[in-house]
Amino acid sequence: MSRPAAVAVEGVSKRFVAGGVPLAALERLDLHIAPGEFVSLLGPSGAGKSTVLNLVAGLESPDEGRVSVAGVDVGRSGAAPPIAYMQQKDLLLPWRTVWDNVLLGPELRSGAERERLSGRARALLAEFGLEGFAAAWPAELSGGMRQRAALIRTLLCEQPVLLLDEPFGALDAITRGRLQRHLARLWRELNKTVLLVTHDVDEALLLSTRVLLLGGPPGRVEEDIALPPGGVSAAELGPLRARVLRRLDALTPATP
Amino acid sequence: MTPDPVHPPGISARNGAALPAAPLAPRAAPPAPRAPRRFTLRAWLLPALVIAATLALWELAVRLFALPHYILPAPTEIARVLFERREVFLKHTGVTLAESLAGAALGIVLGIALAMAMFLRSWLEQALYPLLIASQNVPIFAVAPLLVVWFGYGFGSKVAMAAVTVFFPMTVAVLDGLKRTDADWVRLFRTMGATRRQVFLRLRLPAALPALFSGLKLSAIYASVGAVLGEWAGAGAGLGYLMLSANAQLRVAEVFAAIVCLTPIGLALLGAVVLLERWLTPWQRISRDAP
Repeated sequence: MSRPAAVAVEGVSKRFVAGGVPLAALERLDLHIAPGEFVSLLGPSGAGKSTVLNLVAGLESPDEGRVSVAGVDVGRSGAAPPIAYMQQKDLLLPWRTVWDNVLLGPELRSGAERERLSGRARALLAEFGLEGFAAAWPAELSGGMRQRAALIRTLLCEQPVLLLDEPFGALDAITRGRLQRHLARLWRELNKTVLLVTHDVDEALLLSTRVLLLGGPPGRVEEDIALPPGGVSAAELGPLRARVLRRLDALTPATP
Repeated sequence: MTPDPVHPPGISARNGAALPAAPLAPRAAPPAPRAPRRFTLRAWLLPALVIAATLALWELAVRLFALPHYILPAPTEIARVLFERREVFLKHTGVTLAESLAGAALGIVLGIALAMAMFLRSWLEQALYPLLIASQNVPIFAVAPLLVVWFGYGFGSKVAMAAVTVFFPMTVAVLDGLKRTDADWVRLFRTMGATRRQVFLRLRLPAALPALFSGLKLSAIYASVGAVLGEWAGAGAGLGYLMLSANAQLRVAEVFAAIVCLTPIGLALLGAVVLLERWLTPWQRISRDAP
């Protein structure tokens, strides 16, 4: 690995206090994600998947270790890391039209940036079937449309690293499939690094170049599955899925 | 590339360069037209019937039991007084309206300013919030004579009284609104590199607008109550003054007439706030009507 990692997590520990009880969410976790990789984090609840994203996004700071994005320490410079973050909740601002929502990232940088990206915004809205809804309020959109608008907003932040925290988790199967296909194409075309947290094994196997199985708490990488560079073939998917599911089952604590 | 039976219909493998770049979705149908707001006949008719029935019963009772006018005047008697002395009532209604408007404006501006200051400087909130709450245990009525001493017998003390009445609900509503901004929104803004100023101006302020309008609605209703209380403590004009002097002379019909004049002041202010809310927060109407 000669190029600097797009995302590097080195010996990171993170503890929380939940209901008065201290909980180690992560213990000496190491992650290296090369530029252009599409990495999915799979694991049971409590394995610290979202904590990893929050650390990379600079929303939390590690108790130990260091986190860097594109070679720059997160939180050290004071500036936000070059990431764009998307959650299961679309977080569209109800008082802004779809147009003003998708351009929020550029607008916060400067008026000129907003101006510069308006053409791109128009193209993305058309691509996602929302061109007729630029002037609509978020409350007028369906769940799938809102999530598409949120994805456009994420892309218009124009950051090299995308952090996606179960972005399609609340959508129906058909809508989710369409958005997954879109994300796959965008990832190929735009040369982004993606870190995806998901519970959907097929989503992880079909979209990613690498799947990390996390266990815990405290969260640790139990298995690092590199997927074939050309994508998972039909013949490979079944056995892979079975293997991952077996492993996930073993990692998930038994319910009392 | 032959169709791949493994992939669920929605998913394509990431190597699926040859897959058709199918349009993401069949053009989503525009949302169903919003149901028209229900200003149906029934919504107006029912309250109107209740009012009419009450007035009829009242009139009937007064006539049936021959109640003296200084105990309970009949609605027709009140209407007669209102009509015959319309110029007097109009003049005093104007005075109370002006006091209410000026007082509401003052209380609203001060309330919003204090709420923002307390939100931005937590030591200020810690210092003032308990006092603010404690001040609500002082009957507002008790303050009125003091205000007359401080601001005079005329317009000033009534404006101050209306402002004092409005100030507290306004401050609490706005402070609450600013505090209740969804934390996930704040996090989203932070990942976008927003400054504190941007988070305040572009997120917290607009997010607090619905709470601000709740405060404004309460203010619209309470402002005239404050003005009248101020007039009771000592005044030479206004509906409160009119009520007191009429009451002292057992001209009870005039007291009722003054009450009748007081109602539209609150309703007009409330109506103005509702119009302003529709204009400034158009998305709220939609979220309410959305299925």
